[in-house]
Amino acid sequence: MSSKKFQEQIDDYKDSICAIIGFMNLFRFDDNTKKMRKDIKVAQGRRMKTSASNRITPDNEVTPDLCVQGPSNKGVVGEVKKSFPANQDLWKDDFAQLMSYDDDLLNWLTTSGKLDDHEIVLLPEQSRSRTVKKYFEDRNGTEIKFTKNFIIVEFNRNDQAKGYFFFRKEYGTFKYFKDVDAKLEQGVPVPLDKLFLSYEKIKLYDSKPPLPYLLHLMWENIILLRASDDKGFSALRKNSKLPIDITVDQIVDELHDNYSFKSLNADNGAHQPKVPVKSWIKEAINALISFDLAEWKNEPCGECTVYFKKFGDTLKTFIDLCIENKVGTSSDEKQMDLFENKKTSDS
Amino acid sequence: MKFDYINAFYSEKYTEETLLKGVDSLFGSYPDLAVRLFPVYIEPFYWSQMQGNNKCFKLLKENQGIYLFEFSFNALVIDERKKVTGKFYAVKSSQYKNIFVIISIENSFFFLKGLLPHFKKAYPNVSLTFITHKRLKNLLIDFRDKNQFKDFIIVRTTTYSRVDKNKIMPSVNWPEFTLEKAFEWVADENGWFQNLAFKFKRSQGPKQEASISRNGVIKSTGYAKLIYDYFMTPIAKTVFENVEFFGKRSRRDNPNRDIRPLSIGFDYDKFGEVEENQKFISSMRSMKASSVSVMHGNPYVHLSLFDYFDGSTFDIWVLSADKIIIVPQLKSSFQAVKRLLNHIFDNYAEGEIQDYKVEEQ
Repeated sequence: MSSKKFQEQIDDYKDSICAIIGFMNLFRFDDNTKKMRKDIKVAQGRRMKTSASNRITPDNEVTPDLCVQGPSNKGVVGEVKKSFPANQDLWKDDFAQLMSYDDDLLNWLTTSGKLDDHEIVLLPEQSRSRTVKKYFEDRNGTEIKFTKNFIIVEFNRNDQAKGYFFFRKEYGTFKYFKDVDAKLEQGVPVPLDKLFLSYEKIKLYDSKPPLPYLLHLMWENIILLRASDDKGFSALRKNSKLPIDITVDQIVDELHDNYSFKSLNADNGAHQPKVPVKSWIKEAINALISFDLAEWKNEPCGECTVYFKKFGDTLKTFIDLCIENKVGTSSDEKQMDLFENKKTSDS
Repeated sequence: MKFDYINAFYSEKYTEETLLKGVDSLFGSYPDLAVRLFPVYIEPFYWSQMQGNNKCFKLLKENQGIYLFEFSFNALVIDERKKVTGKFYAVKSSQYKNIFVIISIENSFFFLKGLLPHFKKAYPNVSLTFITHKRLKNLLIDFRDKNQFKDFIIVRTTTYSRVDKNKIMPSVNWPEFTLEKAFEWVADENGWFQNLAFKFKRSQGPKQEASISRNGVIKSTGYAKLIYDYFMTPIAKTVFENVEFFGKRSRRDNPNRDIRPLSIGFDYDKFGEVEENQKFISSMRSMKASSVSVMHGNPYVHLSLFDYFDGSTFDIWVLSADKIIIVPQLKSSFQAVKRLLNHIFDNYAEGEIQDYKVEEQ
């Protein structure tokens, strides 16, 4: 994989986070008071339980990118797809995932865990939205079936002088959130200079991030932070290393506390997965080991030593090391069976 | 034999006011004497270390917040390594916590080769300030106009010009400009004054020369009290305000780990052209002791910066043509914020520093 490809993946990952936040905020933001509504609850990657009659994955768990719960016991679940693969054969998995939400899902933020009803929304990136809509319409009622209300809302990041994320309805109608539906009819720009403030506290969601991005985040917020408490930190020469003892759990906890959707989720109890998941961090540590920047002290317990070094451009260094060592370079990883991917991510 | 007024000067006990008057009284007896002063923030633990006699500092006396120190350092003096010793005063601010004004009447070798570098090396435990051009100009105008210094000429400048993407060209000039003309000239050069020397006199009285640096170091051959009142007092206030304003910005210092961003605003579309992004990124990459990573470079800018002095980290964004937004991350010291802003002002452009309002998320 090339450096450019990694940069694109990072860009896509950041855009997906901004799209999730931006779309949730369309429901949360009150145009009259100009404040976020307290009666709208949101959750990212929440573990929702399917019923025995679920056509795709009965009696199982699904983790939609976004859940929005309104005051009238109605909700929305959705998936953000920044990068639909070019190969349309792979799209059936994406629609199968959406169809798995076509069920009376449990674990909503109510006492019973149930909602009266919810709608299902797909958010493809604008460049693919028309093709995705056509794909859906061609198969609607045959290969693809929804009993619940289904909507397609396209989004894109507009890179004009003052950037914004733009959301516009491409198919269907929100029947329970008419104010949002009206806005989406014409399209809603969400300024980037508002969205980035949320991104600053939410740099991870329940999809596996590109490895250099995760390594950079770990380096900045876990390794550098600890190294800088060492007396020898400021005098540390460029090629010298400073050993930092750390555990996988500590990394997970600290990134979760500071950079996950925890700050936005209405509830962070048992039904919210802990992001980042351990397996991502273990993979990141293994990558650092292949770069001679870490070693396991007790791998089963997740105890390791990371050797802090001062890099001139930390992200570029990790991108180059990933390419050189052929780690984190599997470009089709995100297109694997998404259920499998999300489920195994907790292991 | 001439009476040693300097020794007598050091033997006195002073208050803030009498110390400066004492310096002024020395100018008459020593025509070559210059006083050098600068305001500084000193971390409490470092200040304790200075007072507990060590190999560099020896506290000689203290009176009402006026501390007289002896400072020693080793230096090459005519090919020979020698121990150089001199004295200086540290005036503890009664108004501003942890802020001091350092005053020295020793020779330039002691000050420029020993004392000042020692304090600079003690960063981030000791932190000088930086004065924006707008502020520098206002300080000089105040000093000139309120004291009716009619003959006020800029006689020497050390200027840095931002000539290219990441090229900063230094130059020394002897412009003989008026104050206003000098600032117009440096703006035309897209530069800043690292140091600016000026001559001034009242209608009655001798001509004096003083210089002021961007980091608040002033040298003067006269009017010590006035220099103190018109430069040190306001700059010390700025140092303190910066500590307050730039401090407590890190997420871990704030409830709910909230972010407290800052912005540098321009009164014109600084980022009107896309090429400007690359220019800005290049200037950021030249920051010493740091990691600068481009998370996104075009058309908007998102950088991640690590400060290797103390481990502070920042995200830097350009999302509109008229401002740069700085978001301190989990750890961010006021010294690192100041160093970052200083770097942007020196290497890219000066703007207006403001709180960036964060609405409810």
